[in-house]
Amino acid sequence: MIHRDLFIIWPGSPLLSVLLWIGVAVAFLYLARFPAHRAVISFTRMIHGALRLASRSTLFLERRVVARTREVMINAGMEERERSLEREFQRIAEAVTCDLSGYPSLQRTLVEQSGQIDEEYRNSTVLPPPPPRWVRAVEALAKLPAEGDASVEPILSYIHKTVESQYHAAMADYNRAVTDRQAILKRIMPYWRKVSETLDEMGTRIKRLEERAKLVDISMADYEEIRSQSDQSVRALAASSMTRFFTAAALLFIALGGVLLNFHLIALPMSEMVGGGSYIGSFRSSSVAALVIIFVEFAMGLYLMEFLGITRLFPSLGQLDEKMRHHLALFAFLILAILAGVEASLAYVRDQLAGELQVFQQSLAPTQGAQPVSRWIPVTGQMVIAFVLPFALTFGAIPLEALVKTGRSVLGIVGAAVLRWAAFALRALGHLFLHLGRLGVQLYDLLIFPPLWVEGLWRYRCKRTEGFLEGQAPQ
Amino acid sequence: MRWAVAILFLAQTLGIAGCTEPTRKPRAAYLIIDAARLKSAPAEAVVNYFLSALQPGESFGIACVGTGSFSDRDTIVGISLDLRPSLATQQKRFLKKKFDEFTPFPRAAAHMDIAGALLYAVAQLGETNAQERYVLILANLGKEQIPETLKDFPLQMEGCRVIPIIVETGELAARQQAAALKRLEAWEDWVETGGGLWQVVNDLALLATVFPGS
Repeated sequence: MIHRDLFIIWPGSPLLSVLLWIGVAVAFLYLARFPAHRAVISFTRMIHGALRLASRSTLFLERRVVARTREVMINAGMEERERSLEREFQRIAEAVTCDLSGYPSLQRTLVEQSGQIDEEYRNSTVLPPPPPRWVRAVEALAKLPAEGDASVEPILSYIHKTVESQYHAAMADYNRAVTDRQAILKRIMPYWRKVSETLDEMGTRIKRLEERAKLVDISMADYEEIRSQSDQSVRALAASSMTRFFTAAALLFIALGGVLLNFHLIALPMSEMVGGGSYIGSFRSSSVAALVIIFVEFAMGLYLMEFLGITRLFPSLGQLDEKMRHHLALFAFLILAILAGVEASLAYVRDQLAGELQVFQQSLAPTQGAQPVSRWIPVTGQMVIAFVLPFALTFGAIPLEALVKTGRSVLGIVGAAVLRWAAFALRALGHLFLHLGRLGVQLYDLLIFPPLWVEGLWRYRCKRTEGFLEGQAPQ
Repeated sequence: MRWAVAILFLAQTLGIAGCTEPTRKPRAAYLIIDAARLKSAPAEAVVNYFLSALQPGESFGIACVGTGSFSDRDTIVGISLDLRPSLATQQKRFLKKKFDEFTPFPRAAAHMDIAGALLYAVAQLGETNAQERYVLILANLGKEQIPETLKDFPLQMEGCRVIPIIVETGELAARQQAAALKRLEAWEDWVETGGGLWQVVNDLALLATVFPGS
């Protein structure tokens, strides 16, 4: 007897046996209907409750992350504005020291110029001498009729000549005096011009200061806005963080390209120093040595930027006094320059090695290979690139700082978004389970619809008999 | 802040390290050439290929079999390349020169002592401490038999790959013959019994897959 035969109730008719089994199962399910319903509902409600709890916990975590990110962004924004303000104040101080320190000398120059002008003006006011007083008497005599008396006529004629000569002399004096005054006034012109230029310069300096003051006002307004922790300022900070993060990432990606190029320039010649066939772990010694050189260069670049005050990744370095920082910056630059020189020479060795290998490979080939157009251009190019790249990579410290500083905010923003979506997904999943439980109950009832239908019919008849449902059809 | 910088440095290191060449175990190869084929085009092609594919620190040797008894006099050159690329290139030039200048002894026996040459090559490769060892045989193995005295000789060929190069048309046709096939199988059994790997190369272009270059 095989196991299948155990389920045969009616020998010779498997279909009938199956139907009988279905009948038994339906009857069993009908009897277990209410406990089964409760079990399904309880199970799905339990899952719904757990998921809802998880969703609430996730939302709570998301709120904490948002609050923390907000705090971080506000602090970062305040620090940045403080730095900006500090820088502006430094510039104003420099402008005041540089421009207004010359104010006393300017004032002295102006006083001297005005003194000169005053003196020259006073000189220019010297008038020509007035005509002599006896001229009026002569004029009266000249008005006498000359035809009446022969003795008077020569006198009058003499007087006339005298007056004319006096007139010409007076006019000559007057003209000379006017010419002198004009000359004096002409001498005043350069003084006026100089005074005007001095005043213009003063105006320009004052205007520059005003512009700086406006920038300070803007920065102060921003700072106050951030300090007030308004939603608008937080939104602006978030947008700014994202923009700076992605810009910095793009720039670092470019820098990484530079590092790779640098690596390929020096990896082969490094094998001439440390050997081409030796390995450290699973990497060639020459590759490791090349990487070490590149990283030392990058580290020196970082320190250089730090000592110059361009980046502030390490606060302890920023706390050093100005003289020490200057010396250390010089030291870092010196090491960088030496390493750049080493790289340039390695690039030259690389070209030599590659050239020698190429010549040897060509000697093995049955046909002669093509000769390069120029030999010195690639060599020079490689050497220049190898020398310049370490200095260029130094500027990678700036996007690196931006990436590190904005990374925390961006991570918080992204984390909060992920948590928000996770909370939503958990809640939706909980609801899905709840409705699946209800659907399960309905499907359960669907499986046992014959006894349910009979039950419904029986109940209808019972109620009809009791007179409650007259005129209504059974459902 | 500092940990972030450290992580970025680490990521950069791993990124660049990932771009470097994969690890290659030190290799050594020994080429056994039939004296009749020494100045043939396939022999020159094989030697040229190995000279271009060998990396600094790797070893290479060439022997010419022309007599019934293999001896040290039959070795053309055996050299371990320096770790510095420039010196390695100079050594390769020297190796090529020695190969070009070598004049084989006149053939004095009906059969060549390829088995002896093989044993010598395995011993030479063992001295290099290379992790990947190759013995290339440019001779008609279908024509040569393993001497009875050597058949029971315990070969120590673990990690050694024996590669007969059969590229001449006549040789390929001869290989089809039952007797030649049987002899080749005997060689294969002998090598594999000693722990070596047997791999026949019928096309010189396949050498790049067997012994990849830079």
